[in-house]
Amino acid sequence: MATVFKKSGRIIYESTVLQNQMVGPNTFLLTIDYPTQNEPILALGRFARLRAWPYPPFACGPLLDRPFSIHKSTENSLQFLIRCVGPSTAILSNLTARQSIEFLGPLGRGLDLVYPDYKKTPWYLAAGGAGLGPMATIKENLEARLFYGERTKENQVSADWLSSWAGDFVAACDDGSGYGFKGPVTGPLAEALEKEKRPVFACGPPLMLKAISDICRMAKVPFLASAEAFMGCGLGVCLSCSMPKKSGGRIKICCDGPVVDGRAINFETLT
Amino acid sequence: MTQEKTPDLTVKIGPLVLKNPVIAASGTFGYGLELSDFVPPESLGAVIVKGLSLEPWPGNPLPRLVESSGGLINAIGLENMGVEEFIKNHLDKIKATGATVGANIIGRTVEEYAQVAKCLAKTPIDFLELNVSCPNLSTPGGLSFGSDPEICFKLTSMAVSAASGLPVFVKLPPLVTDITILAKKVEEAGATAISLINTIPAMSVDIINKRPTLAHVTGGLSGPPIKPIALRLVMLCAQAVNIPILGLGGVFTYQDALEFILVGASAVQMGTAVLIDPLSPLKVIEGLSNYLKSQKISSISLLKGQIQTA
Ligand SMILES: Cc1cc2nc3c(=O)[nH]c(=O)nc-3n(C[C@H](O)[C@H](O)[C@H](O)COP(=O)(O)OP(=O)(O)OC[C@H]3O[C@@H](n4cnc5c(N)ncnc54)[C@H](O)[C@@H]3O)c2cc1C
Ligand SMILES: Cc1cc2nc3c(=O)[nH]c(=O)nc-3n(C[C@H](O)[C@H](O)[C@H](O)COP(=O)(O)O)c2cc1C
Ligand code: FES
Repeated sequence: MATVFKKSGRIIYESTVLQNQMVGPNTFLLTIDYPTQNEPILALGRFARLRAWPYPPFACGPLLDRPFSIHKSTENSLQFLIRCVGPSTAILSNLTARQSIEFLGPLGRGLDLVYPDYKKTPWYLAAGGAGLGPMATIKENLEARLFYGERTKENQVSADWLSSWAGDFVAACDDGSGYGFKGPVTGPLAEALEKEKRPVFACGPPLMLKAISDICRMAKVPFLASAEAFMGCGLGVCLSCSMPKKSGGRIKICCDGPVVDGRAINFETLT
Repeated sequence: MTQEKTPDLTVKIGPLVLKNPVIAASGTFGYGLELSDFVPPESLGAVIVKGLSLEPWPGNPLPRLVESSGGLINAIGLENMGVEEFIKNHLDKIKATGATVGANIIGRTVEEYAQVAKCLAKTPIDFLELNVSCPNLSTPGGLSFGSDPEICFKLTSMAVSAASGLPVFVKLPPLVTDITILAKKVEEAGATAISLINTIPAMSVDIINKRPTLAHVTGGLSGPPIKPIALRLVMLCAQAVNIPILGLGGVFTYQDALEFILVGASAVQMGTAVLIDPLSPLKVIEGLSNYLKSQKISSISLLKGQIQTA
């Protein structure tokens, strides 16, 4: 059953899994049913809370819903890219068709609200690891080239699957064990910026975002990022995601972000 | 056909009459309106806003929250906009919904608490809740204010007189040798009610980086793991004082709420549960109402303190 909350446009939906496809050694593409009577979600970096464990919790099981970027949104389904890193992502990775899952979203602000002219320019997209999460809908909605970095081969998603939606992408692998350039993804990104300046949208670990923000500052191009912080609610009430802005004041990543102007915050404070 | 009577869920807390015994706890309901499309604030017994200080506070560095053992450990550090901003831009809006609204207040000194109480005394706020028990705010001695019965007495009396007639609840710390000493002190100082419990000092370790998980090192544990501890403390206080007690700590379901009411709480507050299911307070209210109907009990207050310990 879906309950639509008109004021905020948020939806609580007791959904079911349609498919859970392994797309890398520890990465899963989770497709869930989403009511057709609702408008398709313009994701562009927005996220949702997912839960596939009980309320109240089993003795020591996961408690909070977990935040995941909306990977793709269609008329009757939603996709999430899940990197298995701990107890709740393990549960989500093991879900199979017809199992239930609770959805609360869409949450947060997307690229469209932070950079209204986003369609008027070509972009570079930079994803580190599970930072691929928000990229599919962004790629769908604008002209962009994807740069994808991982630490090792053990984390890399299938290159065929990736090119099925990202087209011609650039990969990098820190330790050189997998496909793509050896070293961090910031190398090929900086080279591309030298050849052609474009705004950059990035999602990944804080240190990667910090490095990209430095590169963009030097190249004098706009930098937008999807920031991550531990989220207690995703709804703006608990302040677990509140971080200082460089110019003073604070933002809540869950409702003032997750897409933020990368020049406004210090990514080191997220580590 | 016999008409089924709707059970009476109203509860009295001093001069306040709450429409039901379910209150949104401080720190998990923002400044009162953030969750209003999920939970209309006026549908609850009351809502208590995030702890307010005289000046805005920035709170602690991230990470501020972690899950542990089925509960949460938070070290938000009482980030808040300051009492003036709240009064100027938020209070009227939330009061306009018809909700009963309480302000949780904090300070670094006894005088600061009284000053915040004084600012709020002239406003439409319905009651104050003195947070003398936050584990994320320590005095030079490292203890929360509330652990010392004499400081607690002084703080409560000063706030009560600064509040000029507004009901004052005192939220006591759970980690003390004898909770009844504190409870009696705040009753003597003129408190309207006692809120029990705040979070319990706790920590979590990141074994990969060999560091505390929270930047602040320690924080306060909330949620299901603290319910059994809270129930005992509420029972002890209910036996020791005559003022009403608001029970909280791991209330997730109407059954949890009934446990608190049976050991002597007049009402319950919900914190962590709201983060996980924003609709949970409404479900608890409905669950209590259905329970009373099925048991043919006319009023929730008839259950207060009905636990048989002998
Ligand atoms: C806005 C946003 C979008 C995200 N999008 C994706 C995505 O598309 N794909 C993906 O694989 N991951 C995404 N994540 C990260 C994902 O939420 C965490 O990996 C997941 O919560 C880990 O839970 P766990 O129980 O498996 O691991 P745990 O062992 O609990 O934690 C592993 C790591 O995840 C972090 N984490 C745990 N709980 C939370 C929480 N409630 N909020 C935020 N971080 C948490 C921890 O701090 C830790 O660093 C996103 C996070 C945010 C904030
Ligand atoms: C994220 C978070 C923030 C909190 N902030 C406050 C606060 O500002 N003032 C306060 O008195 N208690 C605060 N608390 C404590 C709760 O109000 C409550 O006492 C505690 O969490 C136990 O109840 P629960 O198990 O229902 O959460 C906070 C709790 C959490 C989880
Ligand atoms: S996650 Fe709770 S305020 Fe942002």
